[in-house]
Amino acid sequence: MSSDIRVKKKHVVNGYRKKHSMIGLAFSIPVIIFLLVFVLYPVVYNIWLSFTNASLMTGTSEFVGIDNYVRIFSNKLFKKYFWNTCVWTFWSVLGQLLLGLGLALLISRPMRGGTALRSFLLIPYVVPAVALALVTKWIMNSDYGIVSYWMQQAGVLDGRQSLLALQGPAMWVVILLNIWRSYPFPMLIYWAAIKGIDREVMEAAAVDGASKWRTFLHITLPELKNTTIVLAVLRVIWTATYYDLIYMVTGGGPAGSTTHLPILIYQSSFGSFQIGYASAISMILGVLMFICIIFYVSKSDAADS
Amino acid sequence: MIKKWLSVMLAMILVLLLAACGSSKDEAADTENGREDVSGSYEGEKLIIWTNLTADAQYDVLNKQFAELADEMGVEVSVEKVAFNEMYEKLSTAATSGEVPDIMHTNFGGTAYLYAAKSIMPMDDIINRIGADDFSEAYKTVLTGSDGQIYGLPDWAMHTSVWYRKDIFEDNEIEIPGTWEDFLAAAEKVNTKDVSGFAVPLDGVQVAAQTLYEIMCSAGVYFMDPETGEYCFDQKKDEAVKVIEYLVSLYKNASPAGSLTWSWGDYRNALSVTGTCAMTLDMGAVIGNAQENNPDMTGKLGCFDFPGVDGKKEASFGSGYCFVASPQEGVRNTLVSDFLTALYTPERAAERALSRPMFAFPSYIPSFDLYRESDKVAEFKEEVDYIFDQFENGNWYWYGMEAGLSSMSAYIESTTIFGEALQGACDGTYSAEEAYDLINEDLMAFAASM
Amino acid sequence: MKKAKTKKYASNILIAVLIIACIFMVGFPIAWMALSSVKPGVELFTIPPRIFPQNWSLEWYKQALANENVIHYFFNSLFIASTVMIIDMVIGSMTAYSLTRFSFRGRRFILMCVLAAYCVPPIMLMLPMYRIMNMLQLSGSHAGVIIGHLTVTLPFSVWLMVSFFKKLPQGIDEAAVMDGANEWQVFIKVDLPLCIPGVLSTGIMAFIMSWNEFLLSSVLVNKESMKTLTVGIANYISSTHIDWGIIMSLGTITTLPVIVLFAMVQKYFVEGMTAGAVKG
Repeated sequence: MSSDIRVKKKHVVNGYRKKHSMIGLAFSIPVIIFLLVFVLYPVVYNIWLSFTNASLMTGTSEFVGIDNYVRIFSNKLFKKYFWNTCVWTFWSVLGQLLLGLGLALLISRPMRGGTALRSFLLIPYVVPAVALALVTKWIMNSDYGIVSYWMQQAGVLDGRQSLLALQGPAMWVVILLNIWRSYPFPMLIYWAAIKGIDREVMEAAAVDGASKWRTFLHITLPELKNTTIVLAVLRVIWTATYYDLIYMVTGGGPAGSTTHLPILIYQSSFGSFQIGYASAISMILGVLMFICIIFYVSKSDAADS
Repeated sequence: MIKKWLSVMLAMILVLLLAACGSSKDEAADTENGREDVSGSYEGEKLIIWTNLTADAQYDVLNKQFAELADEMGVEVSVEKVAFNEMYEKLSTAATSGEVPDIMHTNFGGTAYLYAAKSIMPMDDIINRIGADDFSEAYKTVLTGSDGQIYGLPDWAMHTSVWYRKDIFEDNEIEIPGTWEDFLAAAEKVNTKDVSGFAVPLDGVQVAAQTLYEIMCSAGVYFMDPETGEYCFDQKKDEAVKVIEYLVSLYKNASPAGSLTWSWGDYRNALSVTGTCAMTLDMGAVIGNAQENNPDMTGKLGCFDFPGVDGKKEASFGSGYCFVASPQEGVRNTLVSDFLTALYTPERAAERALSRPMFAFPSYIPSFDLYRESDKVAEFKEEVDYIFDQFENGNWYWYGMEAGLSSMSAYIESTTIFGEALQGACDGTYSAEEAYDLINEDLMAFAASM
Repeated sequence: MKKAKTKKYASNILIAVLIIACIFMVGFPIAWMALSSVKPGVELFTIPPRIFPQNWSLEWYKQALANENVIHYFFNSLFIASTVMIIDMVIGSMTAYSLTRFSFRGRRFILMCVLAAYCVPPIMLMLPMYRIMNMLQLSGSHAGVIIGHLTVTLPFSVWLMVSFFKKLPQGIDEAAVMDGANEWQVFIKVDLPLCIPGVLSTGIMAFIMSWNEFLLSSVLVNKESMKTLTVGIANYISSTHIDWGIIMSLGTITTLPVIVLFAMVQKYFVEGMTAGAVKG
């Protein structure tokens, strides 16, 4: 290509860019309108509500300043529910990333039926939470649930006891269920990332006599660092705000041991009718999630540059 | 390949979209036709009715009666089910946006909520039209607001008793216990590895509060003062703590460990289907359960009232359903009135009470005879007579409505603090006193906010 | 040499055990649900519980499907999830195109807003959403639920698709422009076809999320004939007695279609996702 044409092309393209960047913006307009009406408006409305004593029973709504926030932080149960949220989120995300990574390593081995295995392992991703919750409630029923029965026979559980009626184990059950449902996504992403690692580097390492473990530690893992950060942020946000599963399996019990912030928000709205107070809790949750996103953006900016 | 798949998918969605548009067009046409003729008759009017009854047998009877009336009156009726665990979600979203249904068939808690949200109208005129004397007094009292007007049209009532296995009591030579101490002793005596003595269900949604309240009532501890209607749960701390301690001892000594999270279905199954518990508190639904799923068990079940502390029971936990209606104007007002009045024939009232797979009994006195003649009930004549007697002659209350309609009642039913506190008391997280404080503080905060 | 062989043998056994464990872990809940739904009533509560039915029976399916609303639930879910999928794919790819192929001011800000929208807890949207739907006269309609599901799926879809569109070299657009294509043509004829695997897999994710969504569907719809499958089944547990047989048959009806559908389109999903969706 001669330099003459190149200059011309550049010129045309520059003009095109300037003149048509507005058209480019136009492609974003549906999303902008959607976000303004259906996300921004609700959020602003929520912020306003969080400074009122709005009630879903009497319909009253008066400005009360930061009363709701003061009440939240002086409530001793809130501390417990906040901690539950941390436990639920941390172990759910850690568990699904580890399991996802482990299974990704497994399916990235060349073997017969590998594709079939991969397909099979993706199934939990599409199983509706409601179906999983129902099965769990049944197999863990203290009287006729098969899992409870096995555990009772093995002496792990007392007679006619259920994991779902014990404070610590109930939380573990919902976390495990969440891991069960969520690992396929990280698995797939890790699998793709592992496939993308330069084969020559791996082979060179093998020739050098590095053990599989060392190769994994020094080549595979560092390559997966960025993927892991992105996945972790995404899943933390998704998990900390995820309501359906806990609501349907334990409803937040026993004795509030699986009540996390989304459940608390629901209960404060429709169990106590204090929508102002509930909005304040959702603000706290929303802000925490926003901090995660900021963290993600700063990381991805660093990665871009 | 991708293209092929994509086009198949697009075609599928197009068909779906067309189908959806088609059906919505039909609906639009219907309502247009409907609006033409309003004068004179109710032709074309539409009533939206909600019910909490999600069990098919009950829903079907209601739906059938509504459809009959809709036909007779030439109106359109649309019935929507609202399950218990989402009742307050639905009511509060509806109330805050003014989308309350025209008529709702609901329990006392739902009525109390709609009354507090000022979404329903007084029913005195309709009650007088049907016949004020045809309804039991106690029932009218509970539905009376602070302005002296009655906000619900009583449909049927329920009474909490201890349902038990007669055969197990006979085998163990146990008499019907008359005091708390005897009751605990009886529960412990029949408690074995496989069959527990007395199930204490404590699911966080409504069940924990109901279990506690029956025991509270028997000891004369209430949330609201039956005389003054003021909040009084804070006045009787010592008694209330004893009630919780007693509940915990029943749980620890005679209830299956897993009952901490049992809901209605679980304890009913345990008594009447799997036979894994000897006693439980219930409103009689166990009979329907047994008849459906384990007919052999039906004859083995009997009932007696939960005893008072030292013999005399102060009151029982009674419950029931009623019709409420949102305020209407003009012709729609008379429509709602006519519609509701027509539901109160002896046959219809009895049929509704009998549709409940539990011993609901009609609150409409002219239907009593029909109700008792039914096969389902005649089999349990002794129990029904006993319950009728207890209901007519003992005190019975619905939590928070000891002195008439109160928003506190809806709150008690919707808050999850009872689950938190009582499950915690039973598994040792809280002492009975801490559990009491949690409940009391929560209810006080609500009372203060009203 | 012999040692190496034994080691290899041992590791193969380990892998086999792992695979069997995985199959059990994934398969058990689904198998239990499907098998229970074909057990007659008397076998549901046997103690000790049995995994396989002694007698097969379709009575629960008959009972479940006798309720015409169950059919409604199914088609509502299908219609809502398909529409959400289409809208996500269309709007998502347009936005991704806009945000990655142009350099107007505020581009980063819009992307930031999309990300921020992703971290709004759905539960926070619930009540305001209900009010908006009432204002727009959409409450109780499918459109209301679809919009609700879009608030959850759209930010994620845009974010995913941005990562696909970013990967296309800028030169492609420029070449097309040189050939006289306008922006719309570049989008439709050049960029979109190149991103099809990514767009499809995003659509599939949106479909699945919508099909499985419970909270907003439950708040936004009251009418029995308008409910989605997830909400419809959840109502079955809360009634005063629990029909496990019917519930398991409904659970199977909810789960199997998505598994089958997913199996059919999985190739594209995997292809799209591994085109390097999530990378630093």
